[in-house]
Amino acid sequence: MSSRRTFTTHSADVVILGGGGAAALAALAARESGATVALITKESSLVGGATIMSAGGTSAPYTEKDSPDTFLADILKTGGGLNNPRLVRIVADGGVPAVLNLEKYGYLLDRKDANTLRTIKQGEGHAYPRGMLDRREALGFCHALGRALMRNDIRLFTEMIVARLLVKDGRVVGALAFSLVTGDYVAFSAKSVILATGGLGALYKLTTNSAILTGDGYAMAFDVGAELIDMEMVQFFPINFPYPPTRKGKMLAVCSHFGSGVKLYNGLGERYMANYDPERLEFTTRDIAARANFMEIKQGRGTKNGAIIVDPRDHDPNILQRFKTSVPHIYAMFREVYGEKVAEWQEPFEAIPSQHFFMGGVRIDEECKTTIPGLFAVGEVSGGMHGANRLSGTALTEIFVFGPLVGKIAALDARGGDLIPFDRPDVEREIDRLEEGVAHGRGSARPFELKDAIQSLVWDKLGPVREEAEMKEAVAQLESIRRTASEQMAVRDQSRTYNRDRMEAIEVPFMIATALLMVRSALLREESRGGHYRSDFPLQDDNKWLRNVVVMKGRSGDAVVEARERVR
Amino acid sequence: MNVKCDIYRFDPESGAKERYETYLLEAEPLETVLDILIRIYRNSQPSLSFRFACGVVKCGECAVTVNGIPCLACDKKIEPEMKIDPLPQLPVIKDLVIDRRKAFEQIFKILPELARKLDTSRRWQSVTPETADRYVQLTRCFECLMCQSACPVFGMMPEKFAGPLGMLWLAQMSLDPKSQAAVEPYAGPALEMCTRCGACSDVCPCSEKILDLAIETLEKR
Repeated sequence: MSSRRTFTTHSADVVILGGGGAAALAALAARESGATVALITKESSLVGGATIMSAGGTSAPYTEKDSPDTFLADILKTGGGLNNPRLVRIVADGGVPAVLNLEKYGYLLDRKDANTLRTIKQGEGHAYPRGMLDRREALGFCHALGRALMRNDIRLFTEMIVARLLVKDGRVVGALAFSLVTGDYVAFSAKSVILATGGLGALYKLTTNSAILTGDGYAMAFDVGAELIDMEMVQFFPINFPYPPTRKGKMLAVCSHFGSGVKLYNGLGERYMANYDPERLEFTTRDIAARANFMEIKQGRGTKNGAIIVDPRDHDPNILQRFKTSVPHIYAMFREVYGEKVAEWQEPFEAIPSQHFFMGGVRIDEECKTTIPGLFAVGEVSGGMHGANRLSGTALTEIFVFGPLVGKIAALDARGGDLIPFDRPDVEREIDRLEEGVAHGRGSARPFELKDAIQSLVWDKLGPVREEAEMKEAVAQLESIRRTASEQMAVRDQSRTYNRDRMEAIEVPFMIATALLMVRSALLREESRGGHYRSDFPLQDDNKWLRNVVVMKGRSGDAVVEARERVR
Repeated sequence: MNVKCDIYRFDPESGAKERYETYLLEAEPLETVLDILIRIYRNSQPSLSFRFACGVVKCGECAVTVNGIPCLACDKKIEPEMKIDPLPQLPVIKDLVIDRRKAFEQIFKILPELARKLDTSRRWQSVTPETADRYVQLTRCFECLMCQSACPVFGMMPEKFAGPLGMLWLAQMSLDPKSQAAVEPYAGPALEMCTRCGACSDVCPCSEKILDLAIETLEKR
């Protein structure tokens, strides 16, 4: 039907995909550099993404005794030697000025006095206190950035999902997007395209992330031939809400939030941390704690709600007070879900581990350029900065530094270049393919069912503990879901206005593609390091594996994985 | 427990009249309205449109009205009988989905000076710790728009009054040296239009009374 192939077009020097902090900062910097800018986000709120979900803690070397060099060393140590040190250098050096720079967008930092920021406790892995928690848990700067976007003549396209990057002569020249609100298609033409689509938490059944983070950017980048790196490196968080359904998996705390007296028990009443970290017990790192919690539950020793038990009763009252004031929002939910007694740490409570952050992503250089001309990547969707494991508080530092940096560079690139128009037949073909996939109403699987299946298997087999046979099974299951998706996925309701099924139908193939890249990378790395732990290769092997795993599209269209020498 | 939901349906595309659809389901007492909406969308009504994102009472996207009272769907515990409507006083796109963009743009329309470029000429503008504290409080807003939908003055004159959210933005910006100048022409008129009825404060999901604080901040500026 001819009406299916219509689309409107929009051109801008710089087109940015994403609606979190990285996207917003990139947009503002590009605009400042004189580029015309369009920003496309799946959500309705600006700024959202993962940024609004954060506790707002931003690590940087603010204090006198500290230094960018020390900060760099800490990041590299946590990263297990797999970080790209050049990217880390930029963040270590640029962290403090980037945080202070936020104020220019119409925002006030949380100050202790005129010249000092409020810094909270030492985080694990940091040589000095670095965590600037601004007591608003990201709400303050998210909304300030959102208003700055509205103030600065940036074209904002909300509740729109990009279905595909458009390529001409080996260069990314735009993007095809689908509007959730109207059901219409918009083809964007750009000189520079910035991927700022965030992480992939929504691939997991249990995640601290919002449902929007379906890993679209990784799949899109792979599709146009870009290289991705460290796709096996996932960070898990140890203590999260187990109920109700909308809270399940959402971020609560790490052990150290409760002080050194905290104890973890399984459903049989056993204190199990000695089996996982005999030296530090509960005061271990978050990834070991998450793994321990995962194993206890997986091996059948969870409570009847499938959780472990946190006992905070032995605590210093000052620490409880700090918990209440530094993360008031989380605290309010904590009180609500568990009740008064638990809120005052007078009773133990149930908790579960959950996916939290993704270290891997689209490989970038120091200018956030991917391996494909015209395509940049920034924030959680990019890979290389965090290596095998992310140091706490550095995800925000990363976007505060690289967001403005990529915006400026993308704008400069655009100034020098011509706008290359995409091929209309390409767009029409892609629209046909998308419409064909869902518009007929035949087929038995609604997108959410396929999402559920993906999320369960990814949690089970690409979670805190991996193993060869399970991962190979995961590949087979993902391929099977892919077939079901192409043959059976259908949108039950045919209306075009705000039809969530249609957006989810676009997300499903992205999720499958991204999960396959992850599992292929995880299969290749036969050792354990950082966020990647294998029960069949539980030790770190620096002889063989002090290398990065890189994946890209091969000639046949399948993923090609290889181990590559590190960047020095 | 048994739950009965009457949900507002309106689809401009189909041309059908607005109506309520009734759903009966089983639920656990700790479940939220969002849990129920998602279940209905999955199991019974694929065409039901509603918003959500974070699931942790932060992004403000899931605001709806339950039994006449605005609330965040991911926060509100279910009741045995619920009439679920979109937020009142704001344009409806479909079913429970309101036009948030228009609501924010409206504030800029009424207060165009807020769109003025900020004065960043002085590189470092320090504020007192008290100001920083107050600013932190005022910026805890989720931008859920429930206050706009509850305000009777905004309901009567949406073209003239920026509403509680507009006043909150004015209050925030009045504390920031970079934007104080932009706020000044609007503060007086806004304070005059506000009747101090407190309806906005009553529905605000923030744990602190930030809308009351906003009015106080503007009065004391």
